[in-house]
Amino acid sequence: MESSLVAKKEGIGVLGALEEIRERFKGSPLRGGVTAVKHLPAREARLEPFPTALAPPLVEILRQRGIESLYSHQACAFELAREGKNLVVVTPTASGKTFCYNLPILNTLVENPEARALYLFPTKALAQDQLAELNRWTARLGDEVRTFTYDGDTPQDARRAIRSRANLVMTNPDMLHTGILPHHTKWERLFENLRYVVIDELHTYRGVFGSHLANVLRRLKRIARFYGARPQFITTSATIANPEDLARRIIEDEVTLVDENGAPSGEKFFVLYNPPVVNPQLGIRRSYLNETRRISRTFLDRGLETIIFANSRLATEILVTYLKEDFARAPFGPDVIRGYRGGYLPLERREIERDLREGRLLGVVATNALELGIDVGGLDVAVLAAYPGSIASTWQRAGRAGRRQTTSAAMLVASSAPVDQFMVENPDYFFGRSPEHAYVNPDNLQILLNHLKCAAFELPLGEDETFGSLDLTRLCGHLEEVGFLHRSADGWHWVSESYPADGISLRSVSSDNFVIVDNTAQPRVIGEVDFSSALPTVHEKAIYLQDGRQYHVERLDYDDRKAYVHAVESEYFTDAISYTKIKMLETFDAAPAGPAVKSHGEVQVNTQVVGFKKIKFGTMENVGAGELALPEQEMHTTAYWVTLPHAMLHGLAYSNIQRQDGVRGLANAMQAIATLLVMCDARDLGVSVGENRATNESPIAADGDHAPLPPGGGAAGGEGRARSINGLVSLVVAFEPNIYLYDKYPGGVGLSEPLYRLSESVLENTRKLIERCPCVAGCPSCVGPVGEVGEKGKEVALAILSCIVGVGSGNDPGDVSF
Amino acid sequence: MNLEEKLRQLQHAAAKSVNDRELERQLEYLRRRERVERALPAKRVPRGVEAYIEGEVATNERGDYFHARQALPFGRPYGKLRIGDVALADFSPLDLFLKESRLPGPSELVYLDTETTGLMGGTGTCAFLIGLGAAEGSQFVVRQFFLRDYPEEKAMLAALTEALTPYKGIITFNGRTFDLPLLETRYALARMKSPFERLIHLDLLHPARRLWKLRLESCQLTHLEQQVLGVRRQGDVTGAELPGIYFDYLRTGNASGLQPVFYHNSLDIITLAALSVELARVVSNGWSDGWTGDDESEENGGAVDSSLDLFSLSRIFERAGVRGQAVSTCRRALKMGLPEPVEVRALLHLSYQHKRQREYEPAAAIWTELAGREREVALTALEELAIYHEHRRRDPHAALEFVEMALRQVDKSSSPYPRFAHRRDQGVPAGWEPGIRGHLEESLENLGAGGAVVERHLDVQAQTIGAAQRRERRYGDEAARLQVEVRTRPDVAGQEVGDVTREIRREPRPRFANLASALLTQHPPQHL
Repeated sequence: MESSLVAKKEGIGVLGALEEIRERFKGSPLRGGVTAVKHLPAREARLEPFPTALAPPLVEILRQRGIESLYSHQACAFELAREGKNLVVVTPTASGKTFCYNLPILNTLVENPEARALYLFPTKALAQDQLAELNRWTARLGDEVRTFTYDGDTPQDARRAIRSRANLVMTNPDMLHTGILPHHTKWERLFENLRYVVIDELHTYRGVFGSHLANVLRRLKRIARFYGARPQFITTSATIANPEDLARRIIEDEVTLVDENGAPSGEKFFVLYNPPVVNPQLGIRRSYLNETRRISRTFLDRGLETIIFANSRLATEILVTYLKEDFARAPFGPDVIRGYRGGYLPLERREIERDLREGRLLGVVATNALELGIDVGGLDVAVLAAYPGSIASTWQRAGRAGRRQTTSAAMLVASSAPVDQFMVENPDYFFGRSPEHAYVNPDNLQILLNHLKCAAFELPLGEDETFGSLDLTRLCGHLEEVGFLHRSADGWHWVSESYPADGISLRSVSSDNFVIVDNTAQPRVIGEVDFSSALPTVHEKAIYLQDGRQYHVERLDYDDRKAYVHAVESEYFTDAISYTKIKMLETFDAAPAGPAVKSHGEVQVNTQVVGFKKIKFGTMENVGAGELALPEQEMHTTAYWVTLPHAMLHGLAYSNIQRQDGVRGLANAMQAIATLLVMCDARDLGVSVGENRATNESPIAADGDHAPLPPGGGAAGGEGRARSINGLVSLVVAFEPNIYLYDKYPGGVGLSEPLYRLSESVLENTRKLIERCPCVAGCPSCVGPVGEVGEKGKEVALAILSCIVGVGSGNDPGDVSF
Repeated sequence: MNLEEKLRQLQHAAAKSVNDRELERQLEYLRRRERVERALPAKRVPRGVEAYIEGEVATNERGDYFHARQALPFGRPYGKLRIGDVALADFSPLDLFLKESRLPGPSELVYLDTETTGLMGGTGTCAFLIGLGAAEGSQFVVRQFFLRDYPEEKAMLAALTEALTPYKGIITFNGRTFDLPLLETRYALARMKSPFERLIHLDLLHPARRLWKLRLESCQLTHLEQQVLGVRRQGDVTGAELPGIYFDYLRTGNASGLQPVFYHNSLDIITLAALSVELARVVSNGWSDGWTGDDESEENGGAVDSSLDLFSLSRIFERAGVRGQAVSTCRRALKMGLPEPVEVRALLHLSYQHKRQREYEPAAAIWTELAGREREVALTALEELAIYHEHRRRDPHAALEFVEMALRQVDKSSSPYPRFAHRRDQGVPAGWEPGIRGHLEESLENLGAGGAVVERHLDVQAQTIGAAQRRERRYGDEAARLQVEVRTRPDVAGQEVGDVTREIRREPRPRFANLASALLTQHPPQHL
């Protein structure tokens, strides 16, 4: 152990570990081990002297912190911000991105303490993190800069003071939407003097969430205009394909891109790793969790600070358990390994972040909660347990490893999910693929109308105002017809007793959390689980894992949102089995689409946790099961669907299973095209294949952002989501499937009706997508990887499409030439 | 990635070309989804407010506004009062409810009540009818400002500012959290200065609640009006109906539904004024030695006739810092007789009044009485008695007696100390909170070690002795108590220890003295 610490200091630790991993798997069976290594060379720092406009107190603070110059992107952002430009800053994790907005803003506040700035963070935790960072500045700036967070946790009695005194307010879009804008008169001082709006982690605002944010900002700008202010926007984003475009669409103004990274970095290796095959007949690979454990140890044993990302909370906790066990007898003890995920108490999270920054931890196993910009400093190694589902997210996670001076490494350990297998077996595809685009559609009618109500509540809507690109007069006329607005000589006024912002949630997930109470000794709250994952994780008899400790759930108080647990020593963990069905409630419209039928209407999506499996740690054996009777989660939403008639499918010269694979593949590709056409995000649009009957008892397949489970590590992949293919096998008699694309928001957010309208375009473009994809038999860019849709999936999907699209009307509005 | 780019452009073009026809179709679809069936009347009826409400359109520098005026002669009866009482009453007792300021005389007071488009607050809620009431000459005048349509709001607010000019004080019901902030928001939205800052404001809601909550099940304005003033409204609309009536008027222009709204508002204002008179009267009459400078109240019926109101008054006096009045009023309430649970509260309240004023004897007499009452109070009383005997009477034996009585009470029932019962409602299971035993053992420790010891900061010894006593009592463990180590804190070693020693020796206590001497034998203070 001691010698490895020395090795780390000499900078050969990472290389040594990589060499060992490569060596160890040299002799493994074919198609196992390291499949690709990409070398990213070191980068020199590009420094600039402090800008002349930088206020002396700030220069002094920087010098005290040992900073004598700025990175080029920081200096550039400072100058552009001073010129009044809106900015989007895109530089890697840990490149000092926050300086890009903090410096110009603190500079303005030092010059003019009356000026105000508003910071928007996607989560409360990020706001807290930034508050801590800013307090380091403001403590030395004296009374002039008064920084506060304003969110659901802000005590009532502090709110008044914050409203009038704070000149730097940190909040989140939800609070701005429900708490600040509808009460803007109380924030008169802020709005009158509003100079800057900062939007951190802009890339998180994609799809419906981003469309909501764009509308909230339309409202913000209206209010600011009312008070005579015109704020400037500084935004930051992780690497996505279109940051500038996304920023422009969200703030609806010109934006300057700052993406020339001046921060130095040491050389870095990105390694793709596929667990070796243990059963060549069945093609079963070693569990990716066990492999992640072994690989992480290779790094940790050398004293390398390592972050391990897992895709679910369960996988996270299993890995924590394993690694703590491994380190129980190591000199540092098990406490150098911690877990980190949403659901830990805020204080605990702050502590882990601090310990990580200060090097007190050796390893942390995290979910995507640490993917966002929380400052934990640079680490030596990032290990990704399974492909995170998107290229952007992969690089974001990999970016957590990165030292200024020494070598670092990121390693992706593939699960046996088809997507993972495709990625590691096709490294050129993986490394060559640009990060995803982020789309928003602020003019989505339903979203726009909702925010128009809020806007009218905040200030009457003038006749000559614009709000988005749709015809405002017509929209207000509609809201008047349905009784929300009244038209007077000076515009439209809100005439309803309701408070519209309360009824409009910017996010699909309920903020209703379950609290976990540990009754082992004196009852104490140890964590929380958000509503959607509560039933699968803290149902009665579940083993709840937190930071590697095991708790048996004794009682779930559903109504009071509490789970009572007891610490136990268990050899197994539990994995819930949930079941989802989709049911057609009402068809609003239906029309033929060739021999097929397209429809849109209201559906009910029910999810229920029906039981659980007990799975032994280490061997992943199934050692038991239990049944549960938990309340069903029901969501009414809207959907667009295509019914493929039995006769048509039957006419195709393929086996039933091949037909099902084809339908599955077609659904995947349709979802990809649909998200592009309505500019939403994959997480906004659920996809499901069901039997065309009044009630569809069909298990939901991979729903967009979750890869299907591998058989070996299935326990950790999610909550029993993907059993689609098996499910469909039973539907062989008169197979007449519906391909559903539904809004994954309760009540729907207005994606289905446009999809119905654009149905021809959806189908036609789906056909082109599949047809022109260079892959042989399917890949994640079209119908999905072969592992999911079979060898014939692509072929059958195309055959189905040529039946439908070939016959359709000629004047397809969405015809694109490639 | 060409495909994605192209699709994006396509979509962008498609969004731009959402023509009217398509928008209509989407809106139609939304109507179907929202199942809007209510066909809203859209036809405008030309007959305006003037046709139904006696009032007129006036003009100021901000434009036109509608206002109505109504005058009630002083002689008109209003429940058990007369309108004129508003002008004649002495409001100085109401100063008790203000922190630092004092209310002006009746002629400089104005009453305000608003009718709004909702109760949620925020910038989208609007006051469409603002009523003011004030005594003028020999009449009580109610003036109402009505928003015929939104563009007239600025003129209406300017008129309100103007109308408030002669007054120095304003009385509302729930105005502190509702009406005034709402109007302030309206002024802010109109970019006009709010007139309320300079006015002394009394919100009657809290005084009325404090005075009548014990006696009446509801302290809503209409309920108080019925119960306290003896006024019965007829043909009135409920507050919940008002926004709907106004919205219908806005949509149709038909003002025929507005009459009840104006009526409701003016009654609220008159009630507000009458309630102020009654509140001032009760406070004044409750004042034991007669309220100075007021002759009218005697005419109005003299004494406060409800013992519950008297007890409430006592608490009001206490809150306002008039301690002497608080005590005497409470005594009078007790003398008149109170229902059992309130009586207990009154006694306890009274005892604390005495205690605060260092009148320990009467306080102890009350605690002795309460020690025989139901358990929760008895425990509190016994605890107080123990403290009293320990600290005031310097009689630790008696103090111990009371502690033991309390412990016996606790032993009678295994349920936890009620003081912590609320914790269970918060989801903490029973058995967690420290019971009375723990709580009292703590005082016992202090008592056992001698309050004097504690007061001399020899807390180390106190705690150690306490721990030994606890062990002895629990386990009868003779050995345990002998193992106690006395570690004298260096800063209090010396003379102080000597004092304590002497004191403990001077007052040997049957149980604890043994222990103390045992300790002292083992570890004799060095100077002895």
